[in-house]
Amino acid sequence: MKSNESARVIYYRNSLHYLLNSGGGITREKAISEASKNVEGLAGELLPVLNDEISKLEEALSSAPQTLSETFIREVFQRQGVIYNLAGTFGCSGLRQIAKSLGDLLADMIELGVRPIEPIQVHVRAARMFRPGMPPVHEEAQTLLINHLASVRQFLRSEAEGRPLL
Amino acid sequence: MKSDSMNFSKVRALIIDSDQFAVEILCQILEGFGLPQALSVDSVEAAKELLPDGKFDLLICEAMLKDGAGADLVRWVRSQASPRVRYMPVVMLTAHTQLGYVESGRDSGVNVVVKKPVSPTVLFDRLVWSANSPRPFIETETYVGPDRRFKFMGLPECGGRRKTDLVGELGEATEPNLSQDEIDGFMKPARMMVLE
Repeated sequence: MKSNESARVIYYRNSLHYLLNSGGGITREKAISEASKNVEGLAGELLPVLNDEISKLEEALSSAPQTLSETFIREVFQRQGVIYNLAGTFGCSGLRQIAKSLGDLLADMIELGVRPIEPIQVHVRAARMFRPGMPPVHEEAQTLLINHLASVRQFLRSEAEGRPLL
Repeated sequence: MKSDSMNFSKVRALIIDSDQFAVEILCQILEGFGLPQALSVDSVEAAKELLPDGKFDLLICEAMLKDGAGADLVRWVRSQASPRVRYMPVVMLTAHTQLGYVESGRDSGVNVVVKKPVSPTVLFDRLVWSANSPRPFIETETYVGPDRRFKFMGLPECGGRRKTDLVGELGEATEPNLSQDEIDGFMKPARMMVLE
């Protein structure tokens, strides 16, 4: 805000306030419990979507050039968002962490204007190991893998900023 | 957080998210709260057609939409003439919690930014807070939205420009300052006898 800019301060009670406080309704505990039950009820329908989304990513990457377009990166970002959200909602912790790492990587790529395919491929291959229905990955191996993915991101950033790690 | 009941049954919510699965989850959460049916659209364009009617009490918007940024849509909402639209509570959802993304949401004029995946507990608390918080709206040439300074973290670097930022005139001291020993005495824990 510029120093000579004037600010208006407005006190406004929105309609949500009046409706929520209009009497009746549901207690916090009951609301949260009902909502959690409803979400759990979706697991059967939505967990298979995780496999579909990972397969679609693999398919898209298999025919993509070595340097990706920005449109492609944004499409991957959309799918990453779906995977991250579903994995987080239904307790797939390993997959959620990989999707988070992929999201951070894609955000870096957009910010830095670099678009190599390899770091994305590495993430999608890692995601394959954590799909629902796959044998569980040992916790230590999971941590190691997540750390390696973080170093892939760090490598990309260093290269793009002209201070290579190697 | 008060444990009083909250009535969501007549709340009309608009959800804007390009991810159909996220919408499905969100609708189930809201249904659990007693909000029977939320309307959802998947693009900024579709939202801009529905919002000017002013028939919604709540807007839940994803930060990254297929045809634009949620932050731009929120700025558009805050620029509308109708008070029902301009001052409506807006919750922004984002899977990307890097500082830049959160700041961008906050500076667009949202009431609250909620991290995905959305948990029922967090969403319930944030919705109730958005509705009941007495935070005023601030309107300037560059920002329209809820007051971003709702936690007192000292004056801004420029020293503060609001009337409430001005330091009151305290006048001349009428008594000698407290000594360090006296200050320490106030800070020291003391034993206390409780009589029943």
